Amino acid sequence: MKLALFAADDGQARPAVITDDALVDVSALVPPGRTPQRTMETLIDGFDGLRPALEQAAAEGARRPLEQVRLLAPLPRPSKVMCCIANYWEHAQREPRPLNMFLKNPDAVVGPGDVIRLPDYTVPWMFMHEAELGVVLKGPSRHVKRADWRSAVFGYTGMMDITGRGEGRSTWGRGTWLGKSFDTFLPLGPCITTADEIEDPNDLWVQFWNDGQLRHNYNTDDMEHRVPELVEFASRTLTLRSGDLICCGTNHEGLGPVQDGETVELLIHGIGRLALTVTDPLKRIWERGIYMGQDSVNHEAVRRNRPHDAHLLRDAT
Amino acid sequence: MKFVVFQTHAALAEVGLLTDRGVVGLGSLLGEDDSPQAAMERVIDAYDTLLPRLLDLAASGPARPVRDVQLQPPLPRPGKILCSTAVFDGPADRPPLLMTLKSPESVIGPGETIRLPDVDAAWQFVAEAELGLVIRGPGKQVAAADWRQAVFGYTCVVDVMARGDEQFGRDFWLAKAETLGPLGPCIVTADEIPDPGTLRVRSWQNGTPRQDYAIATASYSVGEQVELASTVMTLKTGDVLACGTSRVGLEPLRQGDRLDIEIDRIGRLVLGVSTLAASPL
Repeated sequence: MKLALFAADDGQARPAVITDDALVDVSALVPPGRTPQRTMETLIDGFDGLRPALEQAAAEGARRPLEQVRLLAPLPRPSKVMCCIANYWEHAQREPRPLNMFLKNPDAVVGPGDVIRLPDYTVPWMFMHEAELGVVLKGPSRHVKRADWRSAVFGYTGMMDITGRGEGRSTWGRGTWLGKSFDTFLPLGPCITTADEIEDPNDLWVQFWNDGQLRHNYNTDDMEHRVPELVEFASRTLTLRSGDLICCGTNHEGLGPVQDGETVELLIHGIGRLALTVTDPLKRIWERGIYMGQDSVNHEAVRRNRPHDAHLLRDAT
Repeated sequence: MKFVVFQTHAALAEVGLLTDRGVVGLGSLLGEDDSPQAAMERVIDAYDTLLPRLLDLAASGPARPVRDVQLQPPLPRPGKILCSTAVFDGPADRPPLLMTLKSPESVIGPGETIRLPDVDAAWQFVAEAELGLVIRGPGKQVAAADWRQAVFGYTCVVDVMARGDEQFGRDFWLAKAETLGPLGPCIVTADEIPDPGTLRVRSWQNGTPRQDYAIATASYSVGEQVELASTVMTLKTGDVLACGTSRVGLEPLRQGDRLDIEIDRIGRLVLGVSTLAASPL
C-alpha cells in the first residue's frame, strides 16, 4: 500500500492512500495528530489493525486524480534522520569500508513540488544532489539483529540528500557533515510504500533527472552495507522510533550540481516520482552535467582523471 | 528566573520555577501539554506575557523543598541539539567553526547515569562540559551582533564525546548514543546573565578537578556560533546549542565515576557513569 499526506482544501495535512493515479482521503480512519508527522506515526503504529479499512477505503472511497492534489512530504518532521556515509561499491574492486552514519537536520524536510533553497552563504563551493532510498522505521526498536530487520521496517520512500561541498565532492564541514543540514536540503516522498510491497529493498532501481537529463541511474543491489545491516547498526546506538528514517546513501557516479531555476526529479521504481525546483538568491552558475572533477567516481571521469585506477572498475559500461 | 522540569512521587513530570524557597510548579498556569518538552517550549514562547504571573508565583506560590522532588532535564527532548566545535584553549588555536547534531534521545538529567556504548576497548569517552544556549525561535540568519534575540537562557550541557577512529566522523556517530547528552539542572533566563562571557565552566571526576575554563576565551563568540547555526538551519524554540569546550583537563570516563559539572549562576549537574551495556528492550 502507498501512504501519503496531502494538503486538503482547507490547507490542513491529511492522510491518504494512493492508488494507481488517484488519491483517497483516509482522514476519517486516521484522526489527525497534533502535527502531520504525528498523524503519519499514528498510521504507522496502527497500520496492521487499520489495514482492512484502508483497503476498503482505497477500493470504494472518493478518488481524487493525483494531478489535482498537492502531496506533502510523507514524514514532515522525523525525530531522527540517520544517513549512511559512502555506502555504495560504485563498481570498484577494493576492500569494504566500515559502515558509519550521521544525523541530518530533521527540520530540513521538504516535499513534492516544494523548493530547494540554496543558502546565501559562499563557504561551500558547490551544492549537489544525491538520490537515495529512505527506509521508514517503526518502533521502538533497539538492538535489532540483522536477521530480524523486518521487525523495525515499516516501508520505503524516496529521499534527496542535497549537500554543500567543501572541496571537490567532499562534504563541507569535515567529520560533522554540516553541509548536508541546510534548511530544505531534505526532499522526501512522494509517499511511503509499505514493506510488504517491496520484496527486497536491495533490488530497487533509482533514477534521478536534472531538467530532464539523467544523472543517477543505479540499483540498490550495489549497496555496500545492506538494509538489514543498516537497521542493526543504527539500533545498536539509538532507539529507532516510528516515523524515523534511515537514508541508505547514494551511488556517487551520477552526482551533479543543483542550481537556480532547475527542476530535479527522483524516481524509485515501486515507490514513485518526487519532483522539486531549485532557487538560489545568489544565482551561482556551475557547469551543468555529471560532476567530473578529480575525485569523481563516474567511470568516464576515473578513466580521464585517474587512468591508473581504471582497471579497478567492475562491470564497466 | 530559573526553570526546571521536576517530578514528585507518582505524579507526571511538570515545569516549575526554582526559587530560594524551593520548586514552584507551573501546572495551574500552563494547563495540559502532551510532554514536559512541549510545556517548556510554551513557557519560552509565552514568557513575556506570562512574566507578571511567573513573578507572583515565584514570590508566593506553593513551594516544595528541592530535596523532595526529582529534577529532570529541563529540556527532555529538544528538537535539535547542536554541538559546536569551538575551543577555549587560547587565541593561537582557532580551527574552523563547525557543528554536529546530537540525538535528542541522548538527553538525561540531574542524578542520572551516562551509559557508555559497548564498543571495543580502543575507544575512550570523555565528558566535555559546555555552556548550553536555550533557543527561542524561530531564528534564521541571525547576525552575530543580534544573537540575544535567539537566546532565551542558559543551561549546562555535557557532550560525552568518543575518542578513537575519526574516519568519516565515526567519533561523532558514537557520541550520539542515548545518555551521552546530559543537560541541566535548570534553565536560567538570559536577563540573569547579561554577559555569558563572564561565565566559568568547571568539572570534577570523582571529586578531582578536571576542566576549568572561561567562556571569554572562546575561539568563536556566542554570537558567531548563533550566526553560523542560523545560517545553516532554522533555530527553533527549545533547541539547544552547546558552545564547545576546552580540551584541557579531559580524562577518559570509567565505570562507577561520579561527574560534577558546574557553571556559575546556572548550577551544578551531578551524574554517574556506567560501562555496563544497557539491557536490550
